[in-house]
Amino acid sequence: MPKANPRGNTAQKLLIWGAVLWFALFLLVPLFTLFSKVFQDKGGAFIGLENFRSYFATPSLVLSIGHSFEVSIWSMGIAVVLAFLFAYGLARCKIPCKNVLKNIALLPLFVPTMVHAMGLISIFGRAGIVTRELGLDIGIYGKTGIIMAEIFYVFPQAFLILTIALESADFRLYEAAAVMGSGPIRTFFRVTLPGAKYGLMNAAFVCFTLCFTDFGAPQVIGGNYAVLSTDVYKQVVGQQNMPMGSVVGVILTLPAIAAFFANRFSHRKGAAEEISSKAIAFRIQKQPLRDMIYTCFMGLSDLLILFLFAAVFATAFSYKWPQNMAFSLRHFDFDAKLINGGSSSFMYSLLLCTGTALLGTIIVFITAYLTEKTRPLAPVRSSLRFCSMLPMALPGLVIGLSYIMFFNKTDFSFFGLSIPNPLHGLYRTVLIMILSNIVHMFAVTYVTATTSLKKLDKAYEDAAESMAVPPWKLFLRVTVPLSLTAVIEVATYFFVNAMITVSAIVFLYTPDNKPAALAILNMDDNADYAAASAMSICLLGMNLAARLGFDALKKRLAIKHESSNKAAPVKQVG
Amino acid sequence: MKQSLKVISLLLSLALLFGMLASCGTDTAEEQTAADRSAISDTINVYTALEDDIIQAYLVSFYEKYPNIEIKITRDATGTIVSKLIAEKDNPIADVVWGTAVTSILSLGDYDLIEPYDPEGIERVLPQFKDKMTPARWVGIEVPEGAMVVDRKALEAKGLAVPTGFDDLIKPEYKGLIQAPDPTISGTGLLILSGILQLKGEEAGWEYLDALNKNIDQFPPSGSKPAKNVDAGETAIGLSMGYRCVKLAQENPDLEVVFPVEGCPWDVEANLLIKKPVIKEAAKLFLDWAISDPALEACRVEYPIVATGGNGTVPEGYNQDPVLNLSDKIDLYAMAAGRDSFFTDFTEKYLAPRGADA
Repeated sequence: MPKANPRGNTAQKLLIWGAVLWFALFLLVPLFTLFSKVFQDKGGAFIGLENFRSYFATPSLVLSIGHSFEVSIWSMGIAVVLAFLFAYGLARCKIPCKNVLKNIALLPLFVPTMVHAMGLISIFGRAGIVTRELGLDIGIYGKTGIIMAEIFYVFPQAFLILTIALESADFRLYEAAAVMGSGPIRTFFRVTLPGAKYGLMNAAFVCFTLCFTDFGAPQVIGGNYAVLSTDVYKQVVGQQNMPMGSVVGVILTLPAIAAFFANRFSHRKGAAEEISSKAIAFRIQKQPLRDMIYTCFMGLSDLLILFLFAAVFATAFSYKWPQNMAFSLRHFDFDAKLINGGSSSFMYSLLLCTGTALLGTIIVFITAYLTEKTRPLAPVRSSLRFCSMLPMALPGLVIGLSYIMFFNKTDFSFFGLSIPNPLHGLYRTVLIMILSNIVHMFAVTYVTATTSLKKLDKAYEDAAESMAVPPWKLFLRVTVPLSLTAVIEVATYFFVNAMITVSAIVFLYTPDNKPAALAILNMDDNADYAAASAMSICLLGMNLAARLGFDALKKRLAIKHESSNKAAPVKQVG
Repeated sequence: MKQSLKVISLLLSLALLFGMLASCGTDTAEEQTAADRSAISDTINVYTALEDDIIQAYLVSFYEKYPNIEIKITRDATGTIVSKLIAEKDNPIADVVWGTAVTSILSLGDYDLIEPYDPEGIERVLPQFKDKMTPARWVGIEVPEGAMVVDRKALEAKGLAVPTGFDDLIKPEYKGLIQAPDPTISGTGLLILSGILQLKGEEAGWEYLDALNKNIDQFPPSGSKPAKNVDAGETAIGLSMGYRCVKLAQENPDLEVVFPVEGCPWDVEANLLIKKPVIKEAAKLFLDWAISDPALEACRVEYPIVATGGNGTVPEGYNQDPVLNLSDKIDLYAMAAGRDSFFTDFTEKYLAPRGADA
């Protein structure tokens, strides 16, 4: 064990405390402000646990807990299995047009979940194309619809995580397995699955909690099947019952705590799957039958996704789907439909997304680096890890509300002492929306970042320490370049999600800066699915452009990096 | 040493960045003093639940009258607007609330957010469409009424007649063919379904709702969805706001609007002044303008019933002077006061069992 670098430690300690401050100000204190409402009545008087008592005395509210678990577990189970197969095809099989197949499967990421549900209604609703043409009514409103919409929603998220996990395997293990005469099934269960274990668990957590907290899809397609997230919305927006909304919000955060402990457990046992600096990149071998099966599976998955999007396009571009399918652009006339809408709101969305991607990527990577790759202040880092995962269980609505309550306060009074709120100035600015987005999307991006950082050999840190290379130099020269795929992935995730997320910012936007996606919520409220579909197509276009841009960037950086730094382990063929 | 300096400078610059962003973000109303009372150059924040597409048309006459007052509109669904106001209650941003359902905004009084104010010309507003207190906490501009839109063709195909009112809807032959907005999330749903309790009286009203619930296919979570779903062919009968039903029927010849023979339940889209440390003169000017003739005539294009009543003509798509369709049994204060218990009862009786069966 080399001696710790004291100077590096001081800097690291400072940064760790900086990260603590970030979470305190932008996550914990706002949440605390909101959750303190749990113990108050509507007027703000302290009533102890009375709200919880009345929550559990209301069968309809308690029912939603079971519902949320039911749809989330089904969606998670199905999505993870499908996503694993898809990721396996991408990472481990010889398949034609891989990039096309992958990019089509990413499409659901680029539109709000409300749109997946709207697409499903266009297909399976009572007047939907399948229902009318085949006379088959599958009863899409309710549990079935929610699960289907959520699978579309989380499938891309899951296979992205799993692809990263499967891509960075050490090929020497497979060579060893082959030498020892292990068959393909045995190798799969003994080498492949354990190697992807961390990714699988992360994917499962991400899927579960995304489904658990999503309110867009249940709102559109849930019928009267209530889940916790729609209950929050209902309590807060429908009934202006902030205390009860906060109670439901608290109940929604419990899975995060479970996820955190499960994650820490897997982390403790997962040291073996780090890639050593001597690892060899996985070499895909040709297996015609396997490759054909995977090609068919992936093609079929893509076809289903395309079918859903075709329905969205048809709704947007026909005069009135499904009765009058004549081509029409009338649903794209946003300026006539929306106040503060149209072109200015698209520009505003762009600003919001760029800000979120830039600032978010920096904060996430620094946090991930601090929790995974530094040594000091172990208990503090552990709580940082918890704070990073916590947003996963927070519905955007809860974050938005907590922000409005915290940042709009001009001062706080503690026992008669009045302290001005130093962050009040952020209220009603772009920055607060950017920050709420970053916090809202922190968990998934953090998982992507740590999954990638975990794969880097600790030997780099040890070497840097013994050679007295400062940690920031190691971070910028080795860690970031080696995690480039993940860096771009994180930036892309922030960008596209900032484009489509409405729930976190619905309470924070101001008339001067109203992003385009909010329009979709308003359109859904007016049941104007055609306009909502049209708007989603515009957002899809912007997101696809961004994605292409990020991909081009990734390629350029990768080439640059390859030529300047040959030390990357995955490139080092031994 | 070098690297810790770099880290410190990074932290410093981050802190600076936050400070800068924080300092350029403030735009509250502190500059307002009594001296510029007469000046009509100002900016006011207006919160409203009026539809996006009609706000600009409404505002035309305001900008003609007060070209130097800038209106910043925050538009959202009724519930979002009200919860936003409540969440901001310690430091209100809004100066006025414009065109938002009375049954929802009356609750703002519980948070001490209402500054009573009699706008100029309030005497022209019909008594049932403004507050009973003086000065008024709220003044209406337009009156949405509950009606139904029916897919005549779909009913014909099943050999069913077009219903004439609420009592027809509980006949067994309409089972599974009706949608109504979920009143626990939609203001329209609240005005229709809790309005029925007023129409029929509390006890008979719940009995009626029990029977109606058996025929209801779904309670969608927005006021427009039942009507839109009829238009889309997803259901046959949708309860929604009158003007929305009329609008859809004008574009789709298969549809027919029914104003229930028992009378329509209704609510009032009203304005109020927000209580805050500095109340801007411009906010009062806005409220005065909002019930002036030009403003109300603009409302009449969408909502045929405005706060000063109908204009004696029958608008296109309506059966008669729409004011005559309104039930005379509606008590907005009782509706607002009974809102919370209605939410609970409605959820327990109808919504929860539906969720459990799904």
